[in-house]
Amino acid sequence: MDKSYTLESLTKVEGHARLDVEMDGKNVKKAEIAVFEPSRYFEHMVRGKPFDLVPTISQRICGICSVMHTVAAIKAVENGTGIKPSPQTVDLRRLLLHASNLHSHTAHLFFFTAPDYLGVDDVMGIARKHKKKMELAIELQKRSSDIVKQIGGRSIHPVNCRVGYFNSVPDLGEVESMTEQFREIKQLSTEAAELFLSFKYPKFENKTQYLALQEKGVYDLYEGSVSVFGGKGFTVPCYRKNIEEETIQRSTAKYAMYKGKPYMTGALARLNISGSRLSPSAKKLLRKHKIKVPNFSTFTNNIAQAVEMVHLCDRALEILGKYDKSGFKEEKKQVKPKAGEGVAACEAPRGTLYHHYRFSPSGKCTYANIITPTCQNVRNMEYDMQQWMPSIIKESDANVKKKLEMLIRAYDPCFSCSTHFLELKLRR
Amino acid sequence: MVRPKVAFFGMTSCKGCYFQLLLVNEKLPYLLDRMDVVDFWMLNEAPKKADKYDIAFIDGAVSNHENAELVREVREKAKFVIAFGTCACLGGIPALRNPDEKQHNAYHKMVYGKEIAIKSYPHADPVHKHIHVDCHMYGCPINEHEIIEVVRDVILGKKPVEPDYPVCVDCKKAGISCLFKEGVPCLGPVSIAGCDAPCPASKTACDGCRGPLPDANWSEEAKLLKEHGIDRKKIDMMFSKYTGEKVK
Repeated sequence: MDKSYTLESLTKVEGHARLDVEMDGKNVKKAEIAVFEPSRYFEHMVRGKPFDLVPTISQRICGICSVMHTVAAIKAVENGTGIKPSPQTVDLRRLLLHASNLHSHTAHLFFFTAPDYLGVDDVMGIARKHKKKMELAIELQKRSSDIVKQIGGRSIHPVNCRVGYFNSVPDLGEVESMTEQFREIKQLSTEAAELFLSFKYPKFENKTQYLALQEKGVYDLYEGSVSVFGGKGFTVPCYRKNIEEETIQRSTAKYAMYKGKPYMTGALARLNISGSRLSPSAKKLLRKHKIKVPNFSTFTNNIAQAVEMVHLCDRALEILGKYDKSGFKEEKKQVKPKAGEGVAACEAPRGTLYHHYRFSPSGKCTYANIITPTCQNVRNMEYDMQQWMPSIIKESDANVKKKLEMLIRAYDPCFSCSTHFLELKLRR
Repeated sequence: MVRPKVAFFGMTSCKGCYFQLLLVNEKLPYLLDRMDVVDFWMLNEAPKKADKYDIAFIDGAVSNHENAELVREVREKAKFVIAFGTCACLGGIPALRNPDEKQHNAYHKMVYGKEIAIKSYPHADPVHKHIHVDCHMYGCPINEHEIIEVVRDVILGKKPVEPDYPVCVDCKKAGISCLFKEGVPCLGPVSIAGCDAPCPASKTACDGCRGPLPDANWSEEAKLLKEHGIDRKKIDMMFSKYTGEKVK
């Protein structure tokens, strides 16, 4: 018996996407994700623009990861134009990334994921029936976005973070208040992590390839080499040789694979690769709830995000500790670009984000390529659907639909930022 | 109080304005209490697909056939349509490609390869180019306080006020000293206000994300920027960053 499911519109995700699954008895004939976000052609739009304008355009790829796009773009511009940021500038960017990650994880976990596990339809249900949890989410959102605003000048599309420097830096009083904020956020994050560790997630394991940036000795989001779980890995400038972006006939998608196979990037990949470097408080939570690391259940991505929130607070406090006596110094605001080519990556909430640019001697952008985490994860979402469908096919149509949506949502997908997707079809 | 039926739609954008809305933070429950959200794909499990909306928010530029169809449908069903954010009001960042309309085929091929069919228009339009819009909310992203004011006004049956003065006014209100005095060239004098000047507050020049002020003195602004060492080509780029259009 042929049975097909089409989820016309995937809800509670950022952007617009559609699932298409076709079954023949227990066999999966088709498991497709179509993303129908309109093309925006960022790689074209930044060409011809001066180097300092490029990050202010690229950051508009995504509203929720605008901080990560800003940082990745700036780093790639700097690598391409021979501009070197100071250690202080790098630290401020790290703080920005951590606060923004906390903010993004909170939005995804509470607004998009929690309704599935709390028996309500959506965030309005949480607001009505789980007032305390809504308050927790709002506190976390407010405090983390306040820090992004304090350092970046604006909570979405930060303006203060420039190629080479920050226009203004936090003063000693602000260092103190941010330290206090991160302490509070850590407590709230621990509460949130306990909540997301207590949910009963569907039992589904599908070991795949996991890719994440790994920095020497720390679990951070700013830089590093690309690590492959159980494999060799590669350096960021070699991304082209390792990550294949494939263009598919009859579809408008370019999607990424590693060694010809799908892979997962994001919080679960970071946990599997750098889990041993989590802060003691984060590790304690994993032990308390008997979470296996490494972990091959896609749903554990929700847990990985929640636990990572606690870790990122510890990491932020560690960085702020370096400035609690001296404060931040005014930054030198002169930069001189050279011609060249630069690639850079950082860890966004959903995974590794690559930006790549070339510049002319006058500092004009002549080439751009950007690979977003969702572009990398979509292929693995389909792989997961193929593997999971046979064991859930007996359930009612409504249940199957709900479960598939929960699965895709566990990736925290961000379809508006997948610049290359219009529609995604599985090649047969 | 009657809770208005409110719907939210997304066209071509980064969705940042909707995240700004969800970020209204302590005000979010206040808003959710006062409106009946009937269609919001980002939040609703099953949109109720109402036949009529009291208020419809449209985010993003209109850049393909589906977008154009959807805004027309929304207009038919909605009493009050709000263009939500700079992309919806002016085309925004997606409109940066508009001047290259004639090269659409070439750059499409560059980004996607030749075998992939073009599905988008060669330009990204503001919503009002396709339908009548009752209110514009500018900003990339929109200002979180403005949402509260606009929603409150619409519920009370008032027409929300669209600021018609430059960002300099916001700077004065916030007590921010003029960046020009510190040698930083700024687009504040020619840009629509209402943002509370977050950029100048962090010593960053305004880049006009709420769009060009209709009666601004462009030639004088261009002269000022030139005096600060910016060449004409870059000045044009700065003036057209959120509209894709040259100012006269």
